[in-house]
Amino acid sequence: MLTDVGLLALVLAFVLGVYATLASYYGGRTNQDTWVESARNAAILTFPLLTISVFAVVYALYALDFSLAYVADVSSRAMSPFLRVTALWGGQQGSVLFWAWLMSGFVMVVLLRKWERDRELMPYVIAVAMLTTAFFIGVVVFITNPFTRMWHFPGAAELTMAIFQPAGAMPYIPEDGSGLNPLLRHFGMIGHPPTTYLGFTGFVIPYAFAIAALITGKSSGDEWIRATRRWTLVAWIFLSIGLVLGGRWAYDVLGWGGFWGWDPVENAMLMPWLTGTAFLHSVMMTEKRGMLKKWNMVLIILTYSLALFGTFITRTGVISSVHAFSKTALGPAFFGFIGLTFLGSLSLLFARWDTLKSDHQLESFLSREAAFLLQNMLFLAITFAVFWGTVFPLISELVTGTKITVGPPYFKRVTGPLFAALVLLMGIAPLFAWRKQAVRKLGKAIWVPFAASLVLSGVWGYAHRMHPAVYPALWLVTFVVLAILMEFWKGVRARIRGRGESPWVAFQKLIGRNRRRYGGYIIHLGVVMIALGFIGDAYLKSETQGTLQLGESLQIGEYSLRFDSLDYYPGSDGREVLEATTSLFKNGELVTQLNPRRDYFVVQQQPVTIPGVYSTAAGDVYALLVGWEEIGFQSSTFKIYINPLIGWTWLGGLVMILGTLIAAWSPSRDREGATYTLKPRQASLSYLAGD
Amino acid sequence: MLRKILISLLILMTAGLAVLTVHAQETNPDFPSDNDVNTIAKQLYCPVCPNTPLDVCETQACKDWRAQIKSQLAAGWTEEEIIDYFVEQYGERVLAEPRRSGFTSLVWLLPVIAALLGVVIVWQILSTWRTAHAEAAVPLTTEQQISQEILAQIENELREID
Amino acid sequence: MNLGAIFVGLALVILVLPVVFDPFRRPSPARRSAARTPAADSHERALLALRDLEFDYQTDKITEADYRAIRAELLAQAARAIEARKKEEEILEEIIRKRRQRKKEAAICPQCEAALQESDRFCPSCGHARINPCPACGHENRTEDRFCSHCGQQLEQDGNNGEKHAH
Repeated sequence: MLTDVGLLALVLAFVLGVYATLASYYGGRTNQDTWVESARNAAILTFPLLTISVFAVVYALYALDFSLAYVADVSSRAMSPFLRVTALWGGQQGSVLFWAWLMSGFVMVVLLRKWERDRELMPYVIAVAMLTTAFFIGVVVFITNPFTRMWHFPGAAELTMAIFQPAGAMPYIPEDGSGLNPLLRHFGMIGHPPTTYLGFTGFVIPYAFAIAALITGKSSGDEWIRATRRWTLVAWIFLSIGLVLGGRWAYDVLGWGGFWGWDPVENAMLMPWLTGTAFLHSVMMTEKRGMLKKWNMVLIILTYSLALFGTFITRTGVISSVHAFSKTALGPAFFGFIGLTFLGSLSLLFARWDTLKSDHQLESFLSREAAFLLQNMLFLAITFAVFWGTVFPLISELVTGTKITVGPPYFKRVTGPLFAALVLLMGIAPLFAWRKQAVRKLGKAIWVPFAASLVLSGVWGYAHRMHPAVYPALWLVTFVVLAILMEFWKGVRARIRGRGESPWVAFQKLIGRNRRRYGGYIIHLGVVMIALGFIGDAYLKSETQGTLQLGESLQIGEYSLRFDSLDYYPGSDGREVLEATTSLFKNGELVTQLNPRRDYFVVQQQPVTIPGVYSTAAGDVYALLVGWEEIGFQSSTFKIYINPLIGWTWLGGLVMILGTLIAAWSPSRDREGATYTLKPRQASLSYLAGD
Repeated sequence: MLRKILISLLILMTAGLAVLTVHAQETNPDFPSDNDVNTIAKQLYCPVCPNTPLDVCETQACKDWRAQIKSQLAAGWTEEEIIDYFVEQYGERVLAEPRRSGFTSLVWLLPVIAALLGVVIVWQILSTWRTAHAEAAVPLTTEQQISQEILAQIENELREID
Repeated sequence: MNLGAIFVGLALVILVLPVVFDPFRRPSPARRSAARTPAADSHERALLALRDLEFDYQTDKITEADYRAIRAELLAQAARAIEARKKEEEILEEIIRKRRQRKKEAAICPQCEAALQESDRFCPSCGHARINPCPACGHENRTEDRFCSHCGQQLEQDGNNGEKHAH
């Protein structure tokens, strides 16, 4: 009953989505507000309808309605109720529905909040956003429908998948489902897919506004940027959180001692983040100097297309094998839609090329504008390197017929120097003035953080003197942090001197009056912390492996791990657990007990290695159980990683959230939209437009 | 100059360490240990599972491959010989790092070319902008030429946004 | 699919349709446009640049000479933008004034076809008594009407003028 209602609501949502796209476009073209408003109502209603549909799936997963193929696929009796609910995004059908639901949610919020403003752009914003939403709902309805049931024809060897009962078939309801992929049974899976999807779908808002600005030809004004500034930031921070949570999940579950493996799926998430970050910076050039208007368009089109591409890669598995592509209609449908989005947007941009007049003037190569431009170039270069490395195995297979692997060494070697240049730029760029920077003043500003960072990183580097290669990286991080902190101090000092404020008041007001600037600097600090985690991973990591008898110890650095016992017991969620008890000693003193485990999921026949981790500010000790003697449990093989500085990555993620909150926070409702928009003086000229 | 000396010192130190570790390996009585195996397995990818390095792969096949590396090491094979053997047996896809010759050199070359091109483009753009600024006739205005009323308005608005 | 589900589905359709087609039954309220003129953009940009310049100067990033030169340039830009905006506003007011004028004269007496003004209650040439005239187009409506049957404008009700805020 509920699943049937969910199906009907889904179909109705699809009809409304198509209607909203067409009606708003028609209304915009013929300048008829009634059509646009009707389209708006339809677009808003899509969300509650999809909510019914999502609820129906979630309930079926929870209540174990195995008549649905999706439920039988990802849910099972052994799973906890909580895991059953998260199984919504554990498989293809559910996650595409989840994606469509989130996107329609974003569209609804925008239509409720921005409706009264932006009258010219709105028809096309609705048309563009709902076209994408309708496409995703259409994919759910026609290609990967979570309400599909299993049917059995008498005498047939295989089950038939269909939504309605085919003539002569009997419904097939299995006793139990196969359950969620064991790797996804982790608390990180609560947060990682939803935040990543929120990030991906959130970029539809700036994209829709950009395309609307292009269609109406009002793109020479910055209205679309003003209207979507905060939305972009929201999408960006969700994608950032998604990336960090994904790293945390990999660290906790995949059992290879690291958090970022340059896997195609990870790269697919990283690419829109890279171009999105470039976009966040380049719009500032437009707002402040009227520059880069065409470039912004290119970046947002690229970001959005890459977000779709990311979904395409994760949901079709095209990269791991070309042959997975055409197994279902999903691959070709996605591929066609991404191509349409990308090429359609670009040709629209070229058609409107001349309306985007920028005011490009610059006094000096040494200026903040130049730094912004260089930063954008670096982000694009990294995006290209990542894209190229991700799709190259595919190209190689198509061109030469040889399958190859492009693994982490490639990505580290190619993007490493570019990332280092970006981090350096993060320290130097804030020291530049807009338009023109005197070399003398720059030298004066750089001198203090430069000297201090040499000293500090020298001391720090001494602690890691076994790895001399890490020294330049530590210097870079120290320098950038000091340079950013100097910026805060200089701003506070200027306020104290100029206005006679007390230091604390000056600090508060400095940030309060320039939220974006200082929120941005705080985000930069968070990025540096994450960079520190990568530096530890690249230079300072050490590992060892050894087979121990009961009571024996394995030595790594100043730590040693003693094997105490190995136990076997049946665990929850249908797993058999093999758990080692070990004692970790630091310089001969007992610090903690670690319990590395091997969970074996019987139904899926899949082992999951769960590490025992001891975390300190300096780094983690990460122990894995990789082998054991089957009879008597007298000996086991352990692998131990020392992962210095890794904790900074998670902390950096939190600091980034804090910085984003500061940058995006609006103090009160009536100042919504900008901290500095001027009061309109009398009536504005815009009444000419549609009256 | 000082930097150069520092860098050459660093290089010398790393080289020295490398020599030390190689030396230690040869005299180690437990050779080949699990760590020696992992050093080589790290550079290889599992020939059957998608995107899994051989040193962390969990499948029985990978365990056997690691055991094979161990026996090859014990038989006195060098690192290169073992890696070449795996490439010959299972194809180039077992290499974590694509080769820098033939068709796969493109994967290394293109990003470098793109980055260099990017620098050139940025430089060109900045030059154009600078020329545009030099050519634009900037009217010589001083504060005196702006009417007091408008100046006051600007001052007012500035105070409002600050 | 059972009958209950079909009923609930029908109920959903019945709930959704009126909302979607509601705008066709009644006129939508006027919405604001956020379109801005180049002068407004230029004005705001100059002010922001002035603020940033001031800050860069205070934090000792820019030399005194550069500061003075750029400041003069930005002030000039702001002044130009302000002048341009004033002109735009004057043009706008002129247009609005003209449109009002036109509206006032738009109505025509249904009896003798003489030009009427919006405020006229009787035709000045034939003495025809006008009934509930629309303030926008001059069309006469029934006394109980709340919206003009000709142009959809909200009509004055007991001295409560719904459109006064528009301009």
